[in-house]
Amino acid sequence: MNCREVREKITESLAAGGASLLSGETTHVNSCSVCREFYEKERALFASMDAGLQIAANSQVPPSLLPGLRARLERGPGPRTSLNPGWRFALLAAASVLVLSFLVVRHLPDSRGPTPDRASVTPPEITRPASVVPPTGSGETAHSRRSPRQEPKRLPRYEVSEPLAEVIVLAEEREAFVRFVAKLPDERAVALALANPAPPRKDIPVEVALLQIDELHVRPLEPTEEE
Amino acid sequence: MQELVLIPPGRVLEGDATREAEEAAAGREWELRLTECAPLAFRVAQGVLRNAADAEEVAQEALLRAYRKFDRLREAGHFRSWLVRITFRLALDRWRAARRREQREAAWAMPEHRPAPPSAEELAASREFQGRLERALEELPDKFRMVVLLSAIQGYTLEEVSGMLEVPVGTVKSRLFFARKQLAEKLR
Repeated sequence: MNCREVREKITESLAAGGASLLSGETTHVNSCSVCREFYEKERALFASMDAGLQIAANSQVPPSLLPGLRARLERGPGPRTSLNPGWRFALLAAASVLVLSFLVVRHLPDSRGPTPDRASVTPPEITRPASVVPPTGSGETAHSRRSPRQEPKRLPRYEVSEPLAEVIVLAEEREAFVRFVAKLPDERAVALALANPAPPRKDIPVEVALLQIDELHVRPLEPTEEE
Repeated sequence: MQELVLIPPGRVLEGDATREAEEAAAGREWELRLTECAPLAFRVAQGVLRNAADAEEVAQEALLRAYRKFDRLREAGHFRSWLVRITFRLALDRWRAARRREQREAAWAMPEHRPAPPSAEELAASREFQGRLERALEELPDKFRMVVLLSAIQGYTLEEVSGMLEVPVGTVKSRLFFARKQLAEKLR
């Protein structure tokens, strides 16, 4: 082991906080005066360093530290503890109500008026002409015969994101439709037939006879010189 | 129908009593941690700043922050570890700011406004060595500097330092070894 290696070992040993050297290094230090001097210097250096660090790290705590801190604390609120159970419950309940109301609002049919961006299209009310109103025994109209509890039926409203295309219906067609609707109560069979689904059809296989061509003449469209 | 309950004067509701007891317990725990850790916070700050007034202010600031977060720092080991780290960080911030200010002022200062040369006492060997040591400490990387300071504070073992820094004991030992080696090189 040469002097340079021994010196490195000495420094490392002292840096690691070791009080004594290993046997090989001790033998070298005892035999080499330069290394012994180096060892003594290094030991003194580390001792001074430790003493200096002790001084630096263990300075006197000023007596004003805690009173000063308490004075600063008095200006602020007390130590924070976790939320008390009452508040925790109230917060939980409020959050639940909020979530539930949001869900209810989302899933209920829209009872408000039409919003400006969503057009509501209501089919035009059909006014029956007096002549086509079906006669009733007591002279009551269909509206007046409703039970008092029965809510007036609302006409279906179709909500569409875009306005529907306008369809022009001729006046005579409209009148014909009104007459047809007015006559339906009298023509029960027709009404039932219209209300019931059509009976399923039985598919009957159809046989198509083969086309027979006896004679076929192919003639050019333009006459030739021979003709 | 709502039931009315008469509460005799001087008696508090059960919920209030629980809350008051909890607050009192928190107050007692806070006082305990304060007595135990305030000197440590001051010494960590002093180790970085080398100025008692600044260190006191930094320690108070760190303790105030700990107070505001006390509901999350009630466990003793966690409190001490958090306090040491926050104090060190605050002290470093202040130290760096002061150094920048000094450098700025030094750059602008006229030669006649420079500080007076050190007195004979200040040049005494021990003080000179202490000054060199402090400068050498300042030049160390932060993680080495913190380990050196904490392990030099009386009453704390390497295991406790490892707990404060939340690193293994082996890491504390290796950081201490390299820090001491670097310090020795700077002081030689």
